[in-house]
Amino acid sequence: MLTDLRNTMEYLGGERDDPPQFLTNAPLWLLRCAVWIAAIALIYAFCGQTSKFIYIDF
Amino acid sequence: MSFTIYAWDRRAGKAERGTLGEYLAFILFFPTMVAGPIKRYQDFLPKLRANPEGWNQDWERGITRILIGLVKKFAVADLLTAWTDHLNARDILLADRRVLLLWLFAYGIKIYADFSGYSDIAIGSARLFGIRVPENFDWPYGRRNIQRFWQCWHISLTRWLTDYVFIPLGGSRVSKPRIYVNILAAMLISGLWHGAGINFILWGLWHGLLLAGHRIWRQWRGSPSSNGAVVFASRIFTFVCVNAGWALFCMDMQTAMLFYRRLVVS
Repeated sequence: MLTDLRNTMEYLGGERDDPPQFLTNAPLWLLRCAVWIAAIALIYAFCGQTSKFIYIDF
Repeated sequence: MSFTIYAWDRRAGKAERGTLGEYLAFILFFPTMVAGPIKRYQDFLPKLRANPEGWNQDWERGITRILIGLVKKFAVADLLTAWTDHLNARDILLADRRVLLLWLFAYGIKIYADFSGYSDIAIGSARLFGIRVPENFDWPYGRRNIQRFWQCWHISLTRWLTDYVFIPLGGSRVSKPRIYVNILAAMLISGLWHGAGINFILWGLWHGLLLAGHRIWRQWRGSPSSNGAVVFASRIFTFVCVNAGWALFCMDMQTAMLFYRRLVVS
């Protein structure tokens, strides 16, 4: 179950190309749209707090 | 870093010569130029030469990866700044010990979200060009020992340290004391790679000691237990040990020592 959860998160996060087995029949385009919309909303809500990455500017 | 890898691999005969354009594309490949993931010429070249296929999927996956990276950066890492900003001498002197621990764990999560978010953006950007660069993180927190942690944290640096520092020093095929020296040397260089300060050297030394300690423990106790409670406890222990070292990473030496003193003594 944890492996499925991990694979799902990796697929939705763009790390994996192929969806996990139990999602093969799901409307994937809808899921991907939902991820993009949620991500854009979160970015819009929280952006502008800092302008640097820790590993680039120690 | 890319140049040193190229020079080393060319000298060792592991990388082919390629053209000037291919070499420039390798060292100036902008998604990974600033802070990795560290790539290798011999892995990069075939991807550069390959005919692009599946542009639609590359773009969709690449943009998704970039968006997720930005979410990690803005909605997790930057949000935790409210706590990690307190990691300074004045606030440390005033804070309760439990709050100090909270700030330190917050920094542990922040640095993971920040750097893995950056890596996601770099990997996603490379994917837009149809090029897959190495992954840098594989769920490092929650690993059951420090060795597994380093196999999953900043993976491209760990591989670089293994292939270009640890193995040339003799790796594990030397006497036992020498193995520990090699581990410490590799992790000291890891510390120096992160910054030229005594705090980064001590951070590297801390991880070197953890890795050496883990090796001694493994030799003494044999194969790891599969008991659920033991596995859970070892995951927590590894998480705490890794986070204990972040104070050396995010503060100067004097402030870090004050932090540890307040944490232990007060």
